[in-house]
Amino acid sequence: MARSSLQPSPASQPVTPMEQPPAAALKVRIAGLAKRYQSAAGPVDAIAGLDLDVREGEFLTVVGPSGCGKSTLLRILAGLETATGGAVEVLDRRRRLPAAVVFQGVSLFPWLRVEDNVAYPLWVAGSGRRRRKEAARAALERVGLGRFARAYPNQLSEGMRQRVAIARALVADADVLLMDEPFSALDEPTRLLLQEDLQAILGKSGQTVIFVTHSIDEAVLLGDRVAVITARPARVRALYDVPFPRPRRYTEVRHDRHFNDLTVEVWEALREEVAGGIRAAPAES
Amino acid sequence: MERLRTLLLALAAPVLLVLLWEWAARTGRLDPLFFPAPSAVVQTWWRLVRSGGLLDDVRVSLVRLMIGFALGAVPGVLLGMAMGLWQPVRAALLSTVVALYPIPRIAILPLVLVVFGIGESGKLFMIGFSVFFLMLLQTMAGVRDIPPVMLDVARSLRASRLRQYLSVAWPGALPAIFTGIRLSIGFALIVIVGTEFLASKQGVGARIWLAYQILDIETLYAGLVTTALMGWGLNLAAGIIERVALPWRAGR
Ligand SMILES: Nc1ncnc2c1ncn2[C@@H]1O[C@H](COP(=O)(O)OP(=O)(O)OP(=O)(O)O)[C@@H](O)[C@H]1O
Ligand SMILES: [Mg+2]
Repeated sequence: MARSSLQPSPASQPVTPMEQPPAAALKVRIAGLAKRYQSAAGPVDAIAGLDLDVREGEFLTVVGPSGCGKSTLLRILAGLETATGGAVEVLDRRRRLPAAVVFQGVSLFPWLRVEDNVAYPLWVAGSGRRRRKEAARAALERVGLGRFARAYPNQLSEGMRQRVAIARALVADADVLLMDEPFSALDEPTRLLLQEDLQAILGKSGQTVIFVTHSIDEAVLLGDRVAVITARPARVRALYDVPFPRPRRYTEVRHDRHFNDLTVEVWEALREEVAGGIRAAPAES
Repeated sequence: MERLRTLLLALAAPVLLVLLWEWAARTGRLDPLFFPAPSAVVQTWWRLVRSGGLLDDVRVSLVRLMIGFALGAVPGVLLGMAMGLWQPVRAALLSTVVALYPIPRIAILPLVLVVFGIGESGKLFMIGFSVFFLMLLQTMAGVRDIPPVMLDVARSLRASRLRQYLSVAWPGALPAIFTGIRLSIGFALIVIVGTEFLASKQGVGARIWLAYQILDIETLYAGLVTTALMGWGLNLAAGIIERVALPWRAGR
């Protein structure tokens, strides 16, 4: 893997990401999105008027206060919830599904072997046994788990299970990959490793990714852009470009002043939202 | 080594008890009319197996048990699935199930005899009834305990309803179903023996009841030993099937 030398960028805010062509095509258009849940305690507005454009091939990270509606956003994109207002649209569709999800927490089927978990999207689509097996083996090689095809999920470590979940989402053949805090249950060293591995796995695949996380470091490390979401109901508070070459290694970027400045900037935006949610008043800085 | 030690410890208590009993019966400290020596019971048991048709009784009871079990378990699992998956079905049926479930199984025997007579169907119904509710409740609980995210996985991939049930609801509920099967075996054995006491000429229960009526104490004990062996064998078989059916749980 080529080591990247970090190039300081002139400014840390609106700049065009280096790996994006200036006029990258639009992949996902989210306009005026609203979601109101009906709960026992009355209606809950999880999302209200969220606008967001996601570019073709970009890695967009999303951070926001807990409970602000991030998972809800992904669930709507995945077709698991219906919006109560506004619209989402995946443009320029080329694959079987508009979106595939790596879910928060444990989502592998304990009753299926690793290879059958990975091949599950193809079983759903009605593919034959041969094709399923080949695709699963290839995807497992891609996430470095070729040797564990015959194991059951409970025989793997948490980090390995998340790799399997990623492999499964890749096999699903979707235009957009949605990841909901996929690494938040991992211990720190494993998480850092998977952050690097994810970049290697996706490589230059051109896969469009929307990645929700609680970790600001993770958001800035992985994202071409970082979207900061407001406290509930969710809207986009700010978008930040992260103009650093890939692959990025945490151990390297953490020494980069511009990278750190950007991280602090994202943190301050998020901090106001979190504090606003907790104290119902903006934080003084 | 560890397993051997556990096994020896587990065997020690019953072996000691039997030896003590044997000694007490032979030395006249126990009245052999009520507590015949274990060796005598084993001899009687062996004689009944060899020539007395005890195996026929076992076969008759087991066939009843298995047919009755299937008649109760299959609809129980299907209805439990439906109630676990669909809230309206649950809303419509749960209170009825909960009201009927605690009725002691054997309490309905007189009614069943009135309705079905003393033929085979009544006995099958008794077993089916005793198994049905347990399997239903176990299956429903199993389905409802499946983490919602697993159904989300299937739905997000646009799986058809049928594929969702086959790939998530069924395997997800299977461990609970097997727990239900193990519990049901005990219930079904109680019910079949109890039913055969009163309403059969054949079967292990009938054999025990006949021995009671002519005060053939040794045969009575031999019948008890036989039911115990049947329960043990059925549980063993269920355990083997479970290990084959739930390979992901092996080695835990
Ligand atoms: N099915 C539901 N019914 C009612 N309210 C819901 C439902 N799902 C989510 N909510 C509410 O909507 C809000 C947003 O939930 P969501 O899970 O999208 O937040 P999140 O940003 O992903 O949170 P976290 O950071 O904890 O993962 C929360 O207040 C939650 O309680
Ligand atoms: Mg969430």
